[in-house]
Amino acid sequence: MKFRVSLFAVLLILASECLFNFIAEPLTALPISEPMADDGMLVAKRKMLFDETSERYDVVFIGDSSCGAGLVPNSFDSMSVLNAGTFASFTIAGYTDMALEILDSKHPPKAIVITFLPRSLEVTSEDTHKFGIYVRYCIAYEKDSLAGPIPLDQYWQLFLRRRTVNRFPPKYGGSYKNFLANLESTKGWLPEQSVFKESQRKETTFHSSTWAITLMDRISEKAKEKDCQVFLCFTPRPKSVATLQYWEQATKSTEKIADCRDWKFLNIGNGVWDDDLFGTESHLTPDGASRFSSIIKKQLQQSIQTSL
Amino acid sequence: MLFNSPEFGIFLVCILAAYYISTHRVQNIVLLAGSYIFYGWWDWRFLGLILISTIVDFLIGICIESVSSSRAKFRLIISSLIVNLGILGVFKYYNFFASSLDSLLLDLGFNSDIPYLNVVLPVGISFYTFQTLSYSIDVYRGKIPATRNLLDFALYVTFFPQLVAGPIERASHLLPAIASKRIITADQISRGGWLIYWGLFKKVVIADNLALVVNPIFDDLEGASALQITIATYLFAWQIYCDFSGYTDIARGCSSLMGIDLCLNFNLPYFATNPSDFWQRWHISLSTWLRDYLYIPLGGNRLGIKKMYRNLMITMLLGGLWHGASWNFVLWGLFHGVLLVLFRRFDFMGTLKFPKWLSIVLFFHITCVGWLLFRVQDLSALTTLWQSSQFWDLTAPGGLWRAVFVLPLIALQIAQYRTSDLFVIFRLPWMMLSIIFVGMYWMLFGFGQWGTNEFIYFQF
Repeated sequence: MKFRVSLFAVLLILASECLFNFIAEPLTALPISEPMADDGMLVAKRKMLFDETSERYDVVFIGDSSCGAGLVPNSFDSMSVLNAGTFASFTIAGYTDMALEILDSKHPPKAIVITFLPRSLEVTSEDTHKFGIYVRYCIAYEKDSLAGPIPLDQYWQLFLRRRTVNRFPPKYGGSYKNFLANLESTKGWLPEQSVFKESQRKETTFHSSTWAITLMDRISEKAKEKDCQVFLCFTPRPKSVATLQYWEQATKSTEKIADCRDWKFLNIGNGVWDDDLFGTESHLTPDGASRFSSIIKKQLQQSIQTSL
Repeated sequence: MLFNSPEFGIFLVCILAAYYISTHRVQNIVLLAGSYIFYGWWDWRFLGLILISTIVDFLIGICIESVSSSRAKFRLIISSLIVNLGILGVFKYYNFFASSLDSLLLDLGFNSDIPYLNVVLPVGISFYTFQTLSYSIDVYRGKIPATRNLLDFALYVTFFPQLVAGPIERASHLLPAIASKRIITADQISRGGWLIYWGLFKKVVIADNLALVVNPIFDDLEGASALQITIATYLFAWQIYCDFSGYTDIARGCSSLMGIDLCLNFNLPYFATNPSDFWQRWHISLSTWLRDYLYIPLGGNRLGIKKMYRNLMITMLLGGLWHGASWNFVLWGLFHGVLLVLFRRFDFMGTLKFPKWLSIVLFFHITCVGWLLFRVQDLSALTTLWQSSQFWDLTAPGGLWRAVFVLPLIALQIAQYRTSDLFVIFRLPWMMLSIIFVGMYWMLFGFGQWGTNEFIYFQF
């Protein structure tokens, strides 16, 4: 009897696992249960980018959450724009992967703008695996990691995350469905509602990582092949966090690197802005976002006028 | 390597695969090598201590048997006690007593300059020390013969399923099982499989979810209301039970898959009707150890009532201290000592002729008072608690809804208690049982807390 029970239970578990894997989205358990916020963000942005029914865009912004909160696509009236900014923990490897997939898609945009905080260029391949989200993304969508072999424990982590019963955070709409609807209405922009209080952390020196630079090269090679323009841009920093010296060091050294290659760097001038334009240490308020968007819009219009 | 980690799952599968294809002697080598890998996974340096303990007690056992004078035997057993308790004392208790003496001297106005040791507490040291000690004492008492096989003895000390959190096995039970050829029955496999599954469920779904409610409250006692602490204490009672008995279930289950039956460590402790009954149901391997190697040698109940009370108090106080080098564990031990003394003196439940269910409910609440002492880190925070302005604040951080996970455990335990059958689950119709297994599977992954939550008793 115990053998029969065990066998039947194992068969039932296997059947339920098969059904689960058949129905559930590879990175999350959608639509069976709510995803965690970071995975939900990735899935939503991927849906807006690669879904058969999704809009075709002239310009796609890729980057971290400072990009997600800092650029308002609906304010780029003359262009069709999508903000596909995700999370800093997705790292430059994640943005690169996403950019390469966009460029390889049936209808690549005319321009990709990679927008993030300067520190995204400081990330190394070791950091990338430590954060986890990029590795999960690679496992879920069967991609090779740009940061090297995937640690085995990450397969286990993804297995657990997909099965964990979860509640989507109320600040993101309380459910993935609401979250996606909000993102679709703003074309990927996620307005920051918090109020920033002065930070204790200070950014003083900038050191780009060689590994991060090589990844940028991969995007520019592919973009050339697909006849798509690629721009790099830094999001502004609050005065209490970064010094002007830091900002200039970051922009100058990145401009130098860009000049030696085929990248185009969008220099927004003094990117150290007043604290009241920030909702958090990294995210601009809606006012800050519209100011940043108008600067980027002007620069983009000048740069890609001819090709558009 | 935690029982609730994927590494352990891989490790167990490899060990079982090698075990099943090996002959008896090779099986023991596989288990010993596996046990050292299991223990060294935490920190390879811990292996040195366990090797010292193993070799010392192995040699002392042989020497005790080979010398004829009782004085020489006595010297040998004292040396075993000095080595084992010395190691335990240095690694577990030295800094505690040093800091207590330090603060006492400072309070008295003296300048103290007591040196502290920069040592890490080796995992499970209290468990294996008690296990090796019991062997030497049993050989000294002539209860068991000394083993001449170092490999068997080393495996007795380090057998990985029970190495870090028990049950504390007696040599008279485990050594013969190691030394003789084992036949694995279908019943052992099915019971072992169930014990691992249920133990994992208790740890990952129940205990670790309750920890999310309990820990924030106890970590900020001053900010918590009395009601929050009361709720957290009741939940902690279930958390510690599921954490510890979950570990024991997994240990017994793994061992059962190898054809070795470990002793029962928990027998529905919250169905105890009095303190004596509780200690026959809770951490049975420790309470019987304390009874046989401490309480009875002190005189037990053979030297009159007063000395029996003294012996009970000493035993429980040291039992409390065994749990950890901290005053709250000492208080917890004293609390149970006082309960045992009061119970022996007045027999409240018997005299008042309470129905059994009422005795169970009442004693559960008394046990929870003990758990409050066990769990708090800062005793002073409790004293100011009752003047707290937020006495009735019910909201608990971490989500009180998680308490719902205790319900399946209570339902199963009621059935186990009423039928006196710990494997009563196997009496269910096979279809229903299969569905329960599948439900448990999805609860394990849907609600389980699969972080790196260590088992509470590892720290002891």
